[in-house]
Amino acid sequence: MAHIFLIEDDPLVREAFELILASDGHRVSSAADGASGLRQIEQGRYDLVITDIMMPEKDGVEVINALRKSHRDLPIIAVSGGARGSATDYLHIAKVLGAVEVLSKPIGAKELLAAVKKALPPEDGEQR
Amino acid sequence: MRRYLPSQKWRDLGIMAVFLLLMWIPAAEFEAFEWLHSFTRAHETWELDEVILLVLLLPLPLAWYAVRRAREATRLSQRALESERDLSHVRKIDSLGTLAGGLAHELNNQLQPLVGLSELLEAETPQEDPRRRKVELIYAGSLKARESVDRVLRFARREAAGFVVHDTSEAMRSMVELMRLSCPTTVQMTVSLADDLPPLGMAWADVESIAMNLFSNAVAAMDGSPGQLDIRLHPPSGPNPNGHAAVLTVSDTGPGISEAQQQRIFDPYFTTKPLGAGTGLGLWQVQTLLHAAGGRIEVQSELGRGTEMQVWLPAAGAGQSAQHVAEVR
Repeated sequence: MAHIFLIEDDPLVREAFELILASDGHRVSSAADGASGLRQIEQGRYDLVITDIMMPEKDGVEVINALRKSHRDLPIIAVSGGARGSATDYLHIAKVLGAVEVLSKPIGAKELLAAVKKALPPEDGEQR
Repeated sequence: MRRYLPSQKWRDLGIMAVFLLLMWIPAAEFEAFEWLHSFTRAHETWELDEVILLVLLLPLPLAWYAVRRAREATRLSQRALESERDLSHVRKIDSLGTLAGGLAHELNNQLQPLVGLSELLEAETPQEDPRRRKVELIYAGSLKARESVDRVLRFARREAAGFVVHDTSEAMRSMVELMRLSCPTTVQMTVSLADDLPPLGMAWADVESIAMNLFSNAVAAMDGSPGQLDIRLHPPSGPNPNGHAAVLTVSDTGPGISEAQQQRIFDPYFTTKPLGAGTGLGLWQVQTLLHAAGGRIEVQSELGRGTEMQVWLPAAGAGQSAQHVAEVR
């Protein structure tokens, strides 16, 4: 199963995502903001990154921008709770910038696991 | 609006009395009445009675003129008041949308554990487990809540107006079709839209509002006479230090805008259209939207030749700072 890095500022949402991902056998590491997320990704090896879009400090758009430069092949899923004039917009931006999947919160367990399966390369669990 | 208070009335009457006194003192001092007497005696042939009659009648046309001006001032202030009311209504709706959007964002985050984990729990609970029905109800309730929040978000985002733009040229193309339909037959409209522009860092509804404002101003400038209207969407040429994504140029062959007017066209309530025809808020709104999103507008105009408006549209991505995100959260 895959090693997934999760960047999400809301602790309840973070834990919920961790439980859902763990239920499918994935290993999950996480960070509460974009800046520390990027630092931790630099130090480890991950198969997939799931990032919230709207976060303090460094937002998801900046995270995707940075990862596209440093980890060209690392698949990214963007999630957002959506605020006026920005949520859908930012998810579109995330897609344009290179997120393989964009999801609007609240996301069902099956929906999230299906998106993860789709985003991971066919050789599931392969370390890069 | 400010009211005319009784204390102001007495003050104004006092000022008028002082004026009268100030005029009377030099008149008496310089023997103005003696002078008037000798002047009238010296010019007896002038039919003075008629001159006096003329002077006595003068207040009548003056009063008519004053009434006309007062009515016009009242109409103008009413118009301004209405525009202000419209604007405050728009702002109210806008802030309601912002509030609803912020609340929906919070609720969506709070619903995430409910929706995600109750679905997971439901899958993990066997059919025969007596707790199964309880979990099913929690899951169904959370899905209903998600739908309600979604409806609020749709209102906040005014989904019908469309959202953001990943293919600017394509989005612009369908708007241009609308413009063609409303373009008078006397005006020849040419369009050129560049492809492969980077995504815009601005809500599409705002871009539409800007483009439609410039289009209708250009059409109004030509005022039913034959003319040429060009709409171009192209990448920025020359230095582009702010990394704008695209430039929208709308030019017309109307009468042009004088330099004095160019100083004022972005002021709220400034309009060259006849009373009641324009609110004077169009270009002000255009500039406000652009400033908020990190874009800008430039105007080039020559009297007798026409006007060209250049709108520099902001790019998505790098410009979307965390601060901006914090504002919309």
